[in-house]
Amino acid sequence: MANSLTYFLAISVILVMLMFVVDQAQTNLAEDNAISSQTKLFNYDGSHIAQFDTGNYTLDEDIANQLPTGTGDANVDEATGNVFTDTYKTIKNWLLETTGLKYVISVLNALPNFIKLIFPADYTSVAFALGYLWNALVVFALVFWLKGGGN
Amino acid sequence: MAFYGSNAIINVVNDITTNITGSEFLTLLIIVLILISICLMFRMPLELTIPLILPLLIVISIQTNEIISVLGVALLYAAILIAKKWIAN
Repeated sequence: MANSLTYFLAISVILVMLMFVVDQAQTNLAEDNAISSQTKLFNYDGSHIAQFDTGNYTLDEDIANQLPTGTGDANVDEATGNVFTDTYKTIKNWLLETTGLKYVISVLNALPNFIKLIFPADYTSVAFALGYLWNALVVFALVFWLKGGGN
Repeated sequence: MAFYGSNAIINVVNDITTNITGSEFLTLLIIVLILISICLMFRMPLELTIPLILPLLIVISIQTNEIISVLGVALLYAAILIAKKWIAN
């Protein structure tokens, strides 16, 4: 189970979970202590964990409902494309949407946003460099995983 | 502190972080160093300090913008530890 992609995915998912829990804890403490200018750590609405929420932070009891519902629409342009490009586009969109690859990849967006948060305004270039490292390594791991290599 | 006087937890944290040395960052550094020294003294793994340091950082970072970077690094460290130990080992 331990290949590079699993490691990246695991860190991202755990980080989203930790940030959500810490943000809840901070919100509760800020309410108890009447702190109005609370530092906002986590954007819940755009996060991956919000996709699992059925309202008031409850999980859906049927885990099958969490499966991606992509239709695999070909989304080709009849005016400009030819049979080769249309076939490629169809295959790519099917892989990304119907198999849920897009769903998996969206988890990995957590860390670049997180890195941007923890570096203040003067150090955005450092955040950019670290984010590049993360994104490039994830893409390499994804390619090697699709190719069939373990590590 | 700007938010002093409403409830117990924040007051305790404010007391220990300002009254000991006068600077909450210096006090936090001293607390972390003491915890790490205790861990080293009893030959325990250093990652066991994270459950003790994280709550302190969480409470302090509610009202202090500057400490949120340190909280972020601690969270990332905790995430890497959990991933290494239980998921991708």
